[in-house]
Amino acid sequence: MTSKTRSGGRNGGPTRGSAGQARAGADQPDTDGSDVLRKPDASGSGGGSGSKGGSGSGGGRPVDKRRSSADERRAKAAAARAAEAARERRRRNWIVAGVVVLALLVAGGIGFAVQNSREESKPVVLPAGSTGTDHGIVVGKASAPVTVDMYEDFQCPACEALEKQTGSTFRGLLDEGKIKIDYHMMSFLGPESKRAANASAAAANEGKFRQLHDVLYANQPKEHTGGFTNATLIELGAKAGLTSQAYKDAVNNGTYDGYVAKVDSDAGKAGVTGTPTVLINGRQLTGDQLTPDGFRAAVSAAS
Amino acid sequence: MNTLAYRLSAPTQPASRAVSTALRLVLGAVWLAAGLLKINDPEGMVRSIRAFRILPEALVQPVAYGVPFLEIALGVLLVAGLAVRVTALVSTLMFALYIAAIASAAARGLRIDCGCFSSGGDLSAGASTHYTSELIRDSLLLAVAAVLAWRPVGYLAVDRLLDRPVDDRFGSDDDDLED
Repeated sequence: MTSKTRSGGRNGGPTRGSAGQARAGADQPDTDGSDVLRKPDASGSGGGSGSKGGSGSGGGRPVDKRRSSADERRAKAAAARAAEAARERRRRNWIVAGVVVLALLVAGGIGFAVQNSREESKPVVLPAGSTGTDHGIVVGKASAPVTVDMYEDFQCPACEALEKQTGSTFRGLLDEGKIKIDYHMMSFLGPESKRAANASAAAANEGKFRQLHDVLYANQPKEHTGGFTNATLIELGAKAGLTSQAYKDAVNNGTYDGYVAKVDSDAGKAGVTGTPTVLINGRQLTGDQLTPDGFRAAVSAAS
Repeated sequence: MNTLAYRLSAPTQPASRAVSTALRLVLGAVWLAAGLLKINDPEGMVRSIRAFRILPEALVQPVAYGVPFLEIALGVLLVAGLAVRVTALVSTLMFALYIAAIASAAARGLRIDCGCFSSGGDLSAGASTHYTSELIRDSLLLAVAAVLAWRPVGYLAVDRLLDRPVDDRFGSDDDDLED
């Protein structure tokens, strides 16, 4: 019964069914019935012949044999068609799989191209005073014996805490000529950080990095609240003595955006894994060494 | 006939399909969210990947730029239901890689944010890591992807449209790549 339904379903199906039929016919010329009978047992469509034989056991043997051999042929043709269909399906599935994997790779590639072109749009303009390692902004007397590398982000609360705790010590040692500080202003906390870092580069260009740096930390907005807009930075710049049109233009135009991005990525490449990171002679200071006393001790040990 | 019997016993019951559909849509939504949240912050992604300190510098940028797009593509394919088994397998592989990366960061004592759904990177001194919850979340997603790879057949999938013309009525809605 099942084989009948199936072949009925197939005959109504697309052209592939008839192709399968033709192939089955070629494999199995219908001259020798007994051969047809034996083969399917091995090929796996024996289930059909078994059930057919059971249902037709009441009839005469030769008639039954002939009928079942016709059934067998049909079953065999159906099996061949099924196998063909399965092959076809498998082939198509592999094609789909290949296309999809390729599409995923292409998506990644397009993403790389898109983001890459987005990145390269900003030219790197070096501000005056960016003479430190990786173009950090150097503050302090040139004769100072100890160079401190300072990695900060204007929006980072831990940096603000450090400035509050040890800032006056930094300023004292800078003024005494004991240290110079190579500032790497990172900007990974969002657009506010980038704007502030851009403003600080503009300040450096006018020799007022230190002043703006200290004013910005004294007026640090809460992280990610949209503080440090260009207007705010121009206002705070005025407090640091930056009233020139050049400063305002640099802030508004993002003149140093390319530089800011470069400093940030160079810091990352240098292995700086967070802010604040403070190095003396390339060695990172521990939390204890960032207290006023600890820092003084670290400086005198290095000098 | 064996093929017919096999197909009828194949996991195409409504319950299996409903679960598969739900898992597929959830996973697709997760990928879309993860990719879209990262796509506008390529530098953040670079920092985040660099922070893991696994990939060589030359590969950091390509991977950081490409992965969000890959995630979105996976999300679109899963929601559409196109080549579900393949996308589920790729998802499984990616979650396995993420889990390995986070676990290795935790083992090496790095203090970073995984950047799974945003720009991650190094945490500032005070912030705490969430390795355990990140690992649990990614493991759950891995399990979802694995189940979906095992039972990719569901409703509302492009796969079902594609599957129809080639086969007969009985086998038509079977899964893809059944062998």
